[in-house]
Order: sequence, then structure tokens, then C-alpha cells
Amino acid sequence: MKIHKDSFWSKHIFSEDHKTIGKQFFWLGLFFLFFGGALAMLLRWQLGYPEQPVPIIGKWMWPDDGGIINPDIFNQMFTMHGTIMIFWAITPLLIGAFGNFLIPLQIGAPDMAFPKLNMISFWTMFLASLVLLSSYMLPLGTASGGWTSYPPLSSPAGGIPGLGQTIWTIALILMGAATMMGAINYITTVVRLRAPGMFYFKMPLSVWGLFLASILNAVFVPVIAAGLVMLLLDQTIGTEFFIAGRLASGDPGDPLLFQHVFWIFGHPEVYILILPVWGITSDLLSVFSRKPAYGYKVTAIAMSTVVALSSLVWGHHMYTTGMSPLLGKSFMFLTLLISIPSSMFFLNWLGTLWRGSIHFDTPMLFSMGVIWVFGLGGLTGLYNATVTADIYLHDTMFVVGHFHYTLAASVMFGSFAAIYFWFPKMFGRALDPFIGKVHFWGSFITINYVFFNMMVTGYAGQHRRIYNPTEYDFLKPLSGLNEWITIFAFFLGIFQFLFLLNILWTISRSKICEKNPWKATTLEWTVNYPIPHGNFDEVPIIYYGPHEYSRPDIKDKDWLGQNELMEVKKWQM
Amino acid sequence: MANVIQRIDHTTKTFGILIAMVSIVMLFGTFISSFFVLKIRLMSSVSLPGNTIMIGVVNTMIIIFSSISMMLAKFHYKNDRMINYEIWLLWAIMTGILFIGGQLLLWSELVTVGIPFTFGQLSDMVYLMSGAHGIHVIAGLFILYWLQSLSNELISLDLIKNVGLFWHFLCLIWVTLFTVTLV
Repeated sequence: MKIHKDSFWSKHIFSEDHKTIGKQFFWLGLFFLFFGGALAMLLRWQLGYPEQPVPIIGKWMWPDDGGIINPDIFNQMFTMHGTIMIFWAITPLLIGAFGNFLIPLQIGAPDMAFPKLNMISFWTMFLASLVLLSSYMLPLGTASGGWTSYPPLSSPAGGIPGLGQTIWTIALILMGAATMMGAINYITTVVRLRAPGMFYFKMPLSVWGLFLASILNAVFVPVIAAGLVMLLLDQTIGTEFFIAGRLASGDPGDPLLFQHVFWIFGHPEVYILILPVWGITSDLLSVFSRKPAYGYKVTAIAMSTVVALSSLVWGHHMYTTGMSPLLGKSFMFLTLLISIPSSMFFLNWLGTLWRGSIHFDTPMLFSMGVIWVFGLGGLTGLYNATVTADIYLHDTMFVVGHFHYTLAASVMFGSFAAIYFWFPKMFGRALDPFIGKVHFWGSFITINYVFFNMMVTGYAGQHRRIYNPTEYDFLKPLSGLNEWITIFAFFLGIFQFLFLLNILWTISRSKICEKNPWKATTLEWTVNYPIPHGNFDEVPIIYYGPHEYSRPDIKDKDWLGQNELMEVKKWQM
Repeated sequence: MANVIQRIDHTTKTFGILIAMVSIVMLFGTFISSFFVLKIRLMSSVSLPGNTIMIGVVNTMIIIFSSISMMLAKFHYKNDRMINYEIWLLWAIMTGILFIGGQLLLWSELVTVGIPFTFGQLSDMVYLMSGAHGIHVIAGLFILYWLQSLSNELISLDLIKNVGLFWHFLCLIWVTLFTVTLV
């Protein structure tokens, strides 16, 4: 293993150490989480208090409009909120930060398979971030075609003026390249660099989740990359791959082709984001229930089954595009099939909790929060998967509520669980448990109020991208509810500042905590903070699975490390 | 630290290249699928003039020859014939450059016969697919050049195999793309 020369640049900036790169992704993701969150607050202001000046910052940000968010800015906000939260907040936080930090440590590897590629991946992502943010400097503002940016809306012929949409496309292509580099690294590391004895069915489920997400990334990110290159040519050079009808100057292209390409990637992307959370939740429930994960192998196989099925269901995003009813039914059937493996690991989570010695530490609270919000998000997914219901619900706030339950609530709670749990290993200090619990309960109550009631407004017919709902008579009765959603959303935002404060306070003031504060069994807890480059003094040898808790044959403690050789005496067997 | 075994061997690198190849297959697979979708929508095919097809055929022969040269370079290295190895590696590079030149000639010929870029969806796909492939070939040429510039101590059969794997793969991609264009 090559050891770095410890100059400032090679240690902190262009480091090839997976832990440093993980931390770089962590800060990048955290920055964008708050950036995207701030956009969400402004969106909610407009929906709760339509065309009223935004308090405090409004007159400073939009002086020409008297502090009011105008429709163009509103469109830009929901576009960038979706784009940033999915690609620049969740992806770097879960896959970039925890993928990097955890995979080598949990499988007993000295580093990623390709450390230099890992470093390039982060800096490509950083460049993509700069490109994306630079679009705010444009005279006509940033992209405003929605996070899906369907053509012709996203092409110059479609009516969005300026270069914002083009810069958005370039940023996403760069982000895709960074993601593919990461995926190649993660898959190769898991397949090739596992420590002796670390068989696939001895890997922590967190690694399973990250590994499966990486497979989806390697396979499906190139699909959207191809679509985005074609879109970029439409936007810049004048091709018309996705332009049809009166907008086309010659032979018609096919706008629906982009939708297919987008969702062939887009639906697996949903699982790319949630798979690490499923794995992390499965592991943490076991740690804090002090008993083995119920149905460990079933969970791993069920997650793999979801990965396979996820590539066959993209059409359920397109029921209203006029596709053949027979095709719609096929997509509906395949989508509903996903509920079977999902239910399996969901029941396994409950099985893990059943009669466990539950410790309500902050990571556990967030993991249990995942069970609740993912349960609701998953169940409401069945309505959207069903053609007859979806024809009515398509593009309403019901869909927004549903996917925020899965992608925002579940993924954020999963990320928070991971941050609270692994913070002592990443930064050597444990986050304050009291603030953590306030953060959890505050977030749990407000997030449920916000997203559940979004589904209510959607069921009542509120369109997801509407600027001012009060302009429509049939939506006027929802004004009060929209206001309350906004109030709860603001409280949700305030509780996140508590989280940020906790992080900053802990890093600056707290003392270094013990090596294994949660009494967990996986390999990362066997190394001292700060973890040296190369991770382990000796190659760890793995004897047990990742959830050896409360073994009756061990008397002095209730856990057994994966590499802890225990002599089992005959009389104990 | 000292006891950490170096496990990042060439098989690991080969595996990484294979994963990258899967990603590249998906990229070109999407282009090819899009080509067919547009073709079905337009109910037509690209009507390339005879001379451009001829240039395409010659380019295909050149890249196949380049791929064979790489194979021979590996064969000679394996049999410890370093001079022959270097000659065939140089052939692989030269023919790779010739291929890129040929592709540019193909593009200019398309423009000459009245099928410029942005002429129509299908011909644009031809430009796009050949262009995307060309970028990969140029990247491959840099890798070949890097291999050629390495001193003898740093070269190994595994390394040549890995570079060769990627080079043969690019040849295969072009053969597929050209066939698709002619269908």
C-alpha cells in the first residue's frame, strides 16, 4: 500500500484516502442539503402565503418584485430543489460520504481499489457543483424545467429562455461521470478487497445496500448520460432528437424518447438513494435491539431482488403519456411485484425489534423513524403504481407527498441515523444525545405533518407545480391546510439547524470518545480514531457475521466482534 | 501498516475495467436504442452515399487491424520478443490515429454530399455515435501512448492484457455501431 507524503494538499485536499474523501463528500452533501432545504422553505412560503412578500430576506433578494417570489423564480426553485436534493445532497451524503467511509472499513480493506479514481470522482463532483451553482449568475437565472427537465420544455424551442437549462445539463453530465467513477470503485472494492472470511453473507447490510446501489449506478447512470448528451446537443447545436410537432424545423424527433431514457435511469435512481438506507437501518436496528438482524439473508436477497425489478418498472412514471394500456398493465404488475421483497425486509425489521433489548439512542430513534416513514411512503406507492389510481393522482401533490415520504423522510432519517451512529468513528466525537433526541422528535412530528398533508392536498386535486393554488376556486378551501403545512415545514427547517449546531458544537468542543461507544460488532469499531491510512495494522480475519449480539454462550458481554476469535468450549456448545 | 497485504493486483484492475465496460456498453446501448426509436418513428433509414459507406468499411478494417496489432504486441511480449512487441504496439497506435483521421474524413464526406450535422435525426445519431466512440478511441490512444512510453521494468503482461482488453472492446463497439448504422 502506498503511503502518502503528508503535505497539507495531499492530506486534506487531494487526498486519496477513502476516509478523507468520505468526509469531503460529507461536507459537500451537508452544504447542499441546507441549500436545497432553504429552497424548500421558500417554495412552501409561496404555496402557504401566495404572492406575499417573503419575510426578512424577500425585499433583499427580489427588490423589483417587492420581495414576492415571481412565477419564473418559483419554477427555478422547484427545479433546483429537486435537482440539488437528489443529486447534490443525498447522493454525496449517503453514497459519497458513507459509501467511501464505510465500505473499506467494514469489509476489512486498506482503501478503495482505485484511490486516485476516488479522488478524481470527488473533484469531478465538486466541479459539477460549481457549474450548477454558476447558473445562478446567469442574467435569466438557472434551470426551470423541473428536476426531470423534459423536452421540449428544457430546450430553447420549448420556451425557457437563457442558458440556465444548458448549464444544468452540463452539471448533470459531470455529476454522472463522478458517480460512475465512484460506482466502478465501490463494486470492485467489494468484490475484490474483502478481508479473508468476509463472505458476501457476512458483510454488514450497510455494505450490501451500498454495493447494490453502486451496481445500479454503474448500469443506469450511463443511460441518463446518453440522454443528457443528446439533450445538450438539442440545446446548443440545434439537433432535434427530442423536438416534434410545430417546434421541429424538419423531421420530427421524439420527446417521449427522453422520458423513457430519463426514467430507465430515474426509477433505479430512487433505489440507488434508498438502498443504502435499507442496509443502514437493518444494521442499526440490530445494534440497538442487541440481537441479530432477523432474516439477514432474506433481507440481502430481497434487496437484490428489488435491484433486479427496479430496472423493469420505469413505465409507471408514464401512464398518462398515452402508452398502450396493455403495456401500462405490465408495468403496473411489475411495480406491484416490488412490494413483495420490500415487505420481506420490512417485516424483518419488525422481527429484529421483536423482544429485543431496545436502546433508544439517537441513531435508533432515527432508524425506527425510517420504519414508520418508509412504511407510509411504500404503502402510498401502491396507489401510484396502479394505473387507474395514478391517472387521477399523476402530477398532483399526492405524488409529491409520497416520494417525499420515501426519498426525503426515509432517506434523511436514514442519513441522520448514519451520521449520529458513525460520527464517533468519522470525527472521533459523539454528537450530543439530548440535542439529537430533540432533533429527532421535532423532525418526526413536523415531517409527518408536512408530507402527509401534501398527500391530502394532492388527493383534493392540487397540482404539484402550481404557482398559486388560490387562483383556482376548487383549491381555495385548501388555503388553510397549505398554510399549516408551511408553518410545520418552517419548524422542520428550524430543527435541522439544531442538528447543524450539534455537529459544529461537537467538532469544536467535545472530547474524543471511546473506540466502540455502541458496542457494535463490525470491523470499523476495532480501529482507533484517527484511523491511519491503510486502516488496519494487520489484515483482519473474519469469523462471524455482522450481528453477533446477545449470544447465550458469551457471559461477560452481549456482543462479539466479527474478527474476534472465541474459543467455544465443548461444554458450552 | 507494514503487514497490510497489497491486494490491488491486476485482476482487480481487470475487474474495474470490466465494470467500466459495462457502463460504456449501457451508454452506447442507449444511443443505439434511441437510433432505432427515431428510425421507427421516422419510418426511414439513413441513406448514406456509397463512398461514405466505403470510407466506413475501410475505417472498420483499420480499427480491426489495430486491434489485431495489439494482440500481436501482447503475443510477442509474452514470448519475450521486445522489439516485435514495440513494433506492433506502435502499429496499434498508428492505426488508431489513422482510424480517427478516417472518421474525420467520413464526417467531411458526409458534409460534402449534403448531410451536415443537424441535417436530420438519424444522420445526427450517426455523427453522435461515431463522435462519442471517437472520444473513447482518443482516450484509448492516450493509454496506448502511456503504455508505449513506460520503461521495460514497469511493463507487465497483465498490464498489456488490461490495455488490450479496452482496445479490443473499442474495436467491437465500432463494429457494432457501424453495423447498426447500415441496418
